[in-house]
Amino acid sequence: MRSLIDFLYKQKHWLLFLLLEGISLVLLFSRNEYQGSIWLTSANTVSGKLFEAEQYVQSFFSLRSDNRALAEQNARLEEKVYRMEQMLDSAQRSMLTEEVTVAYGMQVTPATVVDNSINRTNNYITINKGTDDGIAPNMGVISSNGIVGITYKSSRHYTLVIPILNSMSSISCKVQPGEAFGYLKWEGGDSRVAQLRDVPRYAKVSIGDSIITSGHSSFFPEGLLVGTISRFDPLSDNLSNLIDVKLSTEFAHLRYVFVINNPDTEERQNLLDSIEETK
Amino acid sequence: MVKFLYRLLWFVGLFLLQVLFLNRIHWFGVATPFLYIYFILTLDHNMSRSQLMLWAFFLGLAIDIFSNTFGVHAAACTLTAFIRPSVLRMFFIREEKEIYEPGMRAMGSSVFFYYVLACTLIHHTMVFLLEFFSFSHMGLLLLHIGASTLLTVLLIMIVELVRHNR
Repeated sequence: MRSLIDFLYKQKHWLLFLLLEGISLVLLFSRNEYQGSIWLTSANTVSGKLFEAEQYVQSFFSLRSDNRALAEQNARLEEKVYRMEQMLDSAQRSMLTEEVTVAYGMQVTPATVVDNSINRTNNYITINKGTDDGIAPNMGVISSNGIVGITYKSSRHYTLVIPILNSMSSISCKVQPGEAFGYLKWEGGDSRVAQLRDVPRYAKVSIGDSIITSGHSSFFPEGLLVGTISRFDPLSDNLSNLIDVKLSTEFAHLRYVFVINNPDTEERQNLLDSIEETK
Repeated sequence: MVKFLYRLLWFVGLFLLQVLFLNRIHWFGVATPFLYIYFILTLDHNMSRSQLMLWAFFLGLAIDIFSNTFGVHAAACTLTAFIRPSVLRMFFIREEKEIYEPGMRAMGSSVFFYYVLACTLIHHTMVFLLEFFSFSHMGLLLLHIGASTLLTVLLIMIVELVRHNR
């Protein structure tokens, strides 16, 4: 008996080896049978938390590309919406006039703001798309919240935009509801507020009304949100009202914008130019 | 005690590196490095077989739990730890009594390389045998073992070089 115990003691690492291998193989072969062995898989709480934390860290590394993908998707969707609105519009028109008018497409290019100022009287925005991306002067620029401005000068890869926050900017707008027209100007000061000019005194406007693009200028299609009326003072001068508009675009946090290329712009401009020449 | 904590740190470090990072690598669909066995290979040379096997078993089990392999790594690690003293003796005999950690410093780089190669080959053969659990895809099995062994040995040599030259 004693010699047997001695023998076992001497061979103890063999016994341990067989024991550990035995445990391993039992685990291996019973993996399908025990539902209870779930704690031995990555579905247990500890490993779940570990992998969750890893995913969380990893997601930070892809924020930039996720953002870009979202911006591009947004641009595609906006383009789609414009196409559809145009189609709807033309469908309605053709129903009215029983004529088939061909819907014109608007091209939308996503861009990122690389430089921006809001506290001067003539602010400019630089975006990272240029003539190589099909951007030219006199195109409308919008953000997901509302309109931003109009392209001014383009190099191959960058474009200077005149935003609403520039004394050169003047954008044709209308009040909704009521359809009264006016021009949106900005005279320095608060970057969140601009003024609507030339709205006739007889027009009914009230605080909270939406200001949208009129579609009179070819830069922007009709109906894009510009802002809402935040102050309305009917006693300012004799001919027209002074209306403060709270801009829907947050210029202080502007990051992603979209450039609208309306193929009609050139045609309209040529028409106007030819009228000028015949004068 | 300090030595134990140091060892535990390596254990946890290699474990995390393996489950968070190296397990995701499948070069050409066949090669996955199992660098974590570096821990087993560099435990002190005089450590008893039983101690070696216990460390190895729990490291393997931890890897199993986090990569859903149910005992494959535990079995392979236990085997590797069990035969490690024999393999070490086969390549390297030192008369001095002082304790050393198998590595380039103690053994020289070529001897260490053969030692690592032999142990890695045994470990990986066991891992892929248990994972495939058949000889019906013999070619694919050998390809997995060979490619992964190469990658693991390469990584171990790099880690050892970095440590050695410090």
